Amino acid sequence: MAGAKPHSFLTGFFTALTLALTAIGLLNYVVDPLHYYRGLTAINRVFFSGYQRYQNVGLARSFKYDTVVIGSSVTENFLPSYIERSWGGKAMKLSISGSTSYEQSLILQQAIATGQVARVLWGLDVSAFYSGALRVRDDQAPFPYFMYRDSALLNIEYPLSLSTLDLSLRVLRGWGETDLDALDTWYKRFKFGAETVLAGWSGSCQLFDHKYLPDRNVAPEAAIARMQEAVRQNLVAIVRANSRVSFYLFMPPMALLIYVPADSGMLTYSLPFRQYIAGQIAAEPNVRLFDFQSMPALVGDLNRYKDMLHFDLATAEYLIDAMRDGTGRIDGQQLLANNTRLIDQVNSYNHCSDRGPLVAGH
Amino acid sequence: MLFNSYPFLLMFLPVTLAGFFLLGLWDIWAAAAWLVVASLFFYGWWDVRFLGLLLPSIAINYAAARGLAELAVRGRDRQKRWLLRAIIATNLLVLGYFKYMNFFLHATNGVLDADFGPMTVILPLGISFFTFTQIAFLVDTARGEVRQLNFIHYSLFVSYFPHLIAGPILHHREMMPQFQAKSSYVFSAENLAVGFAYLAIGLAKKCLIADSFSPDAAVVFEAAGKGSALGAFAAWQGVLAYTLQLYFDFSGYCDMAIGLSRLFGIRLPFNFNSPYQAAGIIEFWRRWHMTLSRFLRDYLYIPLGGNRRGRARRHVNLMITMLLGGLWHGANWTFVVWGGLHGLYLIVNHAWRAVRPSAALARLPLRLRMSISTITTFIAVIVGWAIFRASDLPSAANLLASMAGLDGVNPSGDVVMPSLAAGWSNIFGLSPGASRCFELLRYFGTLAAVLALPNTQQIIEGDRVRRDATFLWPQLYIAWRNNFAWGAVLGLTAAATFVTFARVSEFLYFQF
Repeated sequence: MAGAKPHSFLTGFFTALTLALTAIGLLNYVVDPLHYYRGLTAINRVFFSGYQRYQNVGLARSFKYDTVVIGSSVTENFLPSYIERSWGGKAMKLSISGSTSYEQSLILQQAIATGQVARVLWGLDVSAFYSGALRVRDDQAPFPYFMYRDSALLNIEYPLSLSTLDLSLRVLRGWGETDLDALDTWYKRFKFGAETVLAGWSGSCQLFDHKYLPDRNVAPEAAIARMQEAVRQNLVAIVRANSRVSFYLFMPPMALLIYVPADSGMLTYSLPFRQYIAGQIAAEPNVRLFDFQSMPALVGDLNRYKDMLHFDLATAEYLIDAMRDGTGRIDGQQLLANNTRLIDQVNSYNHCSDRGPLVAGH
Repeated sequence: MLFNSYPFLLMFLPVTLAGFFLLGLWDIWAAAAWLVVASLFFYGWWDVRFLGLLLPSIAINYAAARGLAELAVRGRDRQKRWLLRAIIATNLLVLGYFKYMNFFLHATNGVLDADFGPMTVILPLGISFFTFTQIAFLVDTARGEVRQLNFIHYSLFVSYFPHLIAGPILHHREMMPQFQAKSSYVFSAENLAVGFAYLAIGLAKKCLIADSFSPDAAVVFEAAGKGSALGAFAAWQGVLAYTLQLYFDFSGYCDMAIGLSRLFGIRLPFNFNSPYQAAGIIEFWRRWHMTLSRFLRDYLYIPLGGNRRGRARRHVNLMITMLLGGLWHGANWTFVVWGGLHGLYLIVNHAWRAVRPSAALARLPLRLRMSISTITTFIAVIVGWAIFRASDLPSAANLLASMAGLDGVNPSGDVVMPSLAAGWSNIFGLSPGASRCFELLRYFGTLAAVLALPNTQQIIEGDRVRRDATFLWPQLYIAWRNNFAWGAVLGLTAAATFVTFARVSEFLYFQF
């Protein structure tokens, strides 16, 4: 290296680095495949299915609406067009499949920060809150925190990502989905009905003999504490900080079969969650609380479901209309009373005797 | 903070560099202290609780080192030996608690039929590295080989951020004089050029090569863990993918560490020297994780007696060293077995060296003999990695059985190998055949690069690094030049790695 000119390497290095990153960043910025900087444009009129954790930020930031849908996959069939017909106004679905309560709170805060949210329809999943106050799903890909930073200027990962470049090229080739209303819906992709649900259930008729006993079936204290912290941080704090926003919080229906056997699993965790919600949030003036988990017509009819958790489009539309009309609305005391109702329903539930032999699980 | 991340490269590194050289203009002690603070910030960024172990570890070991030095000066050898034993035992107990407690509990349960439940222990990053670094320092202090005992330099020696998380394992003899030298604190454009060249190549090795093989390896090792019938082809592909991933990941990391340190004017020891080009296991261990090999040799193998007590004792010492070296890599029996396997390899290699090649062997051309040795060594190493990466011993056995062809050639239906090309094939209109060709080229091209290309230090600092005389194939000659063209090429390479830092990936929740 004797006699070398040290600056010539550095000049070439930083010139090439800067030019290459600028070119990629500029292309991604102009195309903006996830609508992070702007809504529909002449260049980009498509959306990508399966990218909710990224794309919902763009939908929240760059589009007009006054109503948002928050929740996991069970709310993905809440069509914005149906909400608009039923409630009026302009709706945006920001559901994230497989999401935790923290992820839901992050995307909701992105929407609220735009100042246009008047109404939130939020499906409260039990499992989303038991996963903890700060838990994100990063089992399939790292959670994209960079998309959720306060200022777009701080998000350099999005314009400088090879993956964004991949999406930009797809946009330029015209690939992607054009129907925002149908984006990430799944009601057409699956077969619904009792036969399908039972085929996917791994239990047997003997399990219906197990009964839930409040004194014996208790969730671990650590799990309860984790859930309560998640409720306080990811739900209560947001509700209280946004008094001008109306929150329609609902317990989405689940097939009663999900609680079988009754002495373990779902009911053990679901009841403390419902009880905590009743105590923490039901009395807030900007909250309307709905319980669809103890309505026999919704939870006892397996034909509404594709599995024990996911219900069909008609049920989703029923929930939208019900919340508009106040059907299923409860206060804290009623929610606690519904817990007893739910226990009775589960303990008396026996699909084998009601509907003949199970098609699976023997 | 990963080296390959925007917060590190765009915030931490420029601020630390600027602070270091600006303070260096004023006072070199202030600059060294600044680097200590920056290193602690870097470490605490992962988890601030980690500092709760690192800081006391530095303070206690430094106090012990002063005590040892004092006792050495006064000639109190007996007290010195006791203090040394006590402080080494303390270090090993702390390491044992944080890294191996659950492993020991599990092993105890198995041996004594006990029922100790697992403990919740947070494993501080880099604990093995800073423990070993300090033990070596203490031993050499007791031997009277340490000349300088300055707290700031000692703290920097232990916490220096380029090496703190994953090595290389530093030795005070090569670091302390550099920390003392005023020239280290003077800005040098040449050091900057060399440093960025190392950094760019290291980033490329990690982000562009190692990470591209990671999914292939993950699929195969996960399937082996589930007991799936992999078939010989997929099993070898997965283990070969891991062989390449591990080398490019670890050596890439070390290149980055060397480059980052060079930006500050400090030279770190080389840690890899084209290990897969080794023509024997003894040579492999002189080329792979060289600073660990050096540590194990100087502070374990030689104190055990090394080769000074006869052939049988040497073999026992080798086996003990490699078993403990295996355990150093992690708290799992797979690492112990892997270490034992390499101990066995080394014993065989030593035994082979003791036997004169027969006349027939001697008549073979040297290059052919070396090729056979290199390929045999490479295959032996690959077999070792199958055990090293497996989640447990049954998984390793399943994988080795598949590699041996015991469950046929093709994988069962539930094993689907990922394809790097498939993700881009639609965009660029690649046919499935072209995608398969790309995959084959990727594997064979990378293998060829590993076996025939010079390594990073040979490219960048060829004048400092000895080039080996005999290779499997003639080695290509590539020499880095401090000019605009090399800058542009490595600048583009760095840009290609930057865009891989953040992924936008489809979440496939199958059921949801």
